[in-house]
Amino acid sequence: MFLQVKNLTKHFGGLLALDNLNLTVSQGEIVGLIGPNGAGKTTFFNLLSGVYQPDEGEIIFLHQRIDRILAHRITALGVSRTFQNIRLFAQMTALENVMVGQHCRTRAEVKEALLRTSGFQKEENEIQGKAKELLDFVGLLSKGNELARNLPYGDQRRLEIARALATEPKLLLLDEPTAGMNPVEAKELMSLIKKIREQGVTVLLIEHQMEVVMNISERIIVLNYGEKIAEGKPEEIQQNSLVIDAYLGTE
Amino acid sequence: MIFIEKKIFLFLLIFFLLFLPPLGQSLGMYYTLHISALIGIYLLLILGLNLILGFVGLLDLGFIAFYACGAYLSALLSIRGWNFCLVLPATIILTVLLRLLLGLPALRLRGDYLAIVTLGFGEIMRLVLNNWDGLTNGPKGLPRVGEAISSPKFFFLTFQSDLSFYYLILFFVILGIIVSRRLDNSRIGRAWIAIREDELAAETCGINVDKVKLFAFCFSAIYAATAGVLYTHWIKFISPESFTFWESVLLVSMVVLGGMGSIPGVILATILVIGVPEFLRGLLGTQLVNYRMLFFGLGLVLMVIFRPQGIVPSKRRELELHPSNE
Amino acid sequence: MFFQQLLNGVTLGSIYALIALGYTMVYGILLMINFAHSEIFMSGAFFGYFFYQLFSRISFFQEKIFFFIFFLFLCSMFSTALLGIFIEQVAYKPLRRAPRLAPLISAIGVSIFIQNFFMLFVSNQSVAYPQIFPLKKYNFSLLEINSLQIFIIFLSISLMLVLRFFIQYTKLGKATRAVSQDRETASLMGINVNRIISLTFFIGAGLGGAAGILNGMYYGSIKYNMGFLPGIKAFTAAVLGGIGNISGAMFGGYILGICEAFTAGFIPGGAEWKDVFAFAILILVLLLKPSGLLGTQLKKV
Repeated sequence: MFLQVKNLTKHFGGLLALDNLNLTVSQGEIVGLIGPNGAGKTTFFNLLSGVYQPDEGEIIFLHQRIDRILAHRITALGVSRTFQNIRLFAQMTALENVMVGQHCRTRAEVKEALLRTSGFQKEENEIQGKAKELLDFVGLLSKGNELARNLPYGDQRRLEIARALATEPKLLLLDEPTAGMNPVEAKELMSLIKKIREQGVTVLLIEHQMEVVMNISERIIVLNYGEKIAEGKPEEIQQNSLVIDAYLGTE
Repeated sequence: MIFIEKKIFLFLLIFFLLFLPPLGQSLGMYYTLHISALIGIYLLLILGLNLILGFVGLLDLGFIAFYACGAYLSALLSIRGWNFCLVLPATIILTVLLRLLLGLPALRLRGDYLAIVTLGFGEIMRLVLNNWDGLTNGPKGLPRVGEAISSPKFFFLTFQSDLSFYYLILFFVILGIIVSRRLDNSRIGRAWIAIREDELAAETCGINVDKVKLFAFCFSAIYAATAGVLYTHWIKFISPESFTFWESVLLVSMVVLGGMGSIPGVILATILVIGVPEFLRGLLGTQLVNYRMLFFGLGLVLMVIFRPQGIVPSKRRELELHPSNE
Repeated sequence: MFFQQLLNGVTLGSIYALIALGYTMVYGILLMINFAHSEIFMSGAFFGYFFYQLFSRISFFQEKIFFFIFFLFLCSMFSTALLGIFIEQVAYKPLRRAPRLAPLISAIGVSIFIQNFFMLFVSNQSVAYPQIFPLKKYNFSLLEINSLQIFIIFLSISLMLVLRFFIQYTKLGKATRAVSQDRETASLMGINVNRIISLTFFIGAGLGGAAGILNGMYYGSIKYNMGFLPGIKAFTAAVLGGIGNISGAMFGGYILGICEAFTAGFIPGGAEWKDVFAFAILILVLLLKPSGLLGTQLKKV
């Protein structure tokens, strides 16, 4: 199994953010994660990426438990993410942002940096080359030298995806990638996500725009109050009465 | 100043530092040599603090403690008859170890708490130097440092005159600038700046934030220790009052004024804050110079509010954007 | 001897506690270390000195010592409090949305400015502090207490009780607590957050000013650089009690004062090392239990 989550539970003080969550993701899938605000979606991402540690349960990624290890190690194992409220390195250029993403795939240490060895130069060139490729891939190459904070909102989202891809992930976690985008931009982003999957990256995404999530997900998982209430193909989810209740409320 | 290319600026700076002191000396203005040497020593300190504060964004209010450590260690070792070639590396190693000892627990703390812990450490260092009469001779300062320090010898080079020792200082400054610049434009430097910008995002980019921070924290101590060694050899007398909390504050302020992470910026700030008032003191008398700190405090507030990026904002390197085929 | 040192500790602790309140209240609301608070404390001591010079020329006050002291403290505390608000408006308010370190650096700038201002325009030497009322000594079998110590302890505790009452029972006090719990929600409830922040600086600085005068009276002299050490110790006290926690600051102040008095009194060479001891406490508490002894949970970034 590619990703397996067993009995995952997380409390914040008295608040139960995730309650005994079980799910699996197969390699090469695009899985949508939906649910009302406060359903525990972002908490789940934070547990997956090692930002928080779970209270109970296991996360198994490629036959290895990753629920007790540090975030940067998880990235090195091949799980990468974006953030709901974009977290770029604001004072660095777009290109540098992507170059930072390659940190755990490169190895030049201080000695090489100070002596400017040929190995160092070669690696630097490779880092730059790859960063440019990735910027090109998300359509930002011409803006590579602009500071991240000066980019428009939609570009920042795409830059964050490029940075995440630079870590060479096997599993990519996208937290509301189309938030704040207009329909045209959202459509472009959908095709970008499909292109990412074609390169063999499994995608798990949180999304609020139903059109987007129904269109690109092969499977959808619905959370409400930290519990999984439904799982299935987009068409099945649209018909599911529990899901409709969760969104419209049952009074 | 802002419009001058970085490299030209650095070149001009080095040119001036090379030729100003001998020129001043030949004109009978001996203090130019002394002031230039002080600027050089401060430049090393500032470059070191810029690594940790400017690049990694960690506010260190006790940086002077490691300068003090370098100065006292080198004096104590010299008094025991050690040669400069041994004193320098030994001092650096011991200072870095002390820094490691502080950094291991302290770097877990969030920004402003780290600032307070380093402040506390800096004060403890000063008080220990002040109170441990047996080792440091207390507030009176270490005696006989001058006699103990012989002219530094590097293999066949001997730095006998003040001017030649000044060039040794300058050598370390240039080395310091090169090291800073090379680190800045490398995988390590990018990781530092990423941590400054967003620690969590840096961690999820695969950077081992704790390790990288600790490394930068310790690395900056090499600068402080070297500056301390050179200070002792230049002044030939040390006492705890040279290493107060306000010295640390002065260093932090210079980095902020110059522009956090901007190497030309912090160099310029050092010259403006340390060098210019000293020259003016020579020309205009001490009265005006006394007001320096008043304006300095005011300038700091205004700077943070109106120009947080500093006088010479750090500029990110631009790269060719054509997809390379390598 | 034990009780004598305890008394010294409590006197010192009263002063620390008053200063610590300023740190803790501001931290509670803005999550910011008001680094300039130590200079506010110093300014308070000087304001007290100025008002003493002024009032001692007024014949009315010469007979009525109670009114003399009352107005001396009132005017000095009020002036210091205004200085506190002024600093907040000029140096911190424009930086509310700036990175966390920006206000701290701004505060350092303010500190440098105020210190040098007093050094250049008032005095760069120690100034002898006037004795406001005659010193009487009372001898008990276990300890000797003088009227100044009684006055310091009495005034500090009264001020703290007034503060407690204000925070606990008045409408503004409740608003202050609301803002320190959750600034955004409080503003949605119609609380004027900016006013509450100003009020916090006003109260904190006022108490710091009172501490400055008491400190001057206790040690008999003041100097432009007198703020740093008591300031950092009071900050230690605030951290010790759990920063952001008002009762904690008072508690921490007394603990630290007593520890310091005992170190100076009972450990050989302790007088020299008592400051090292205070700084060591500061570092150890921050490293080992940053939430403080009374354990308020720190807000994470």
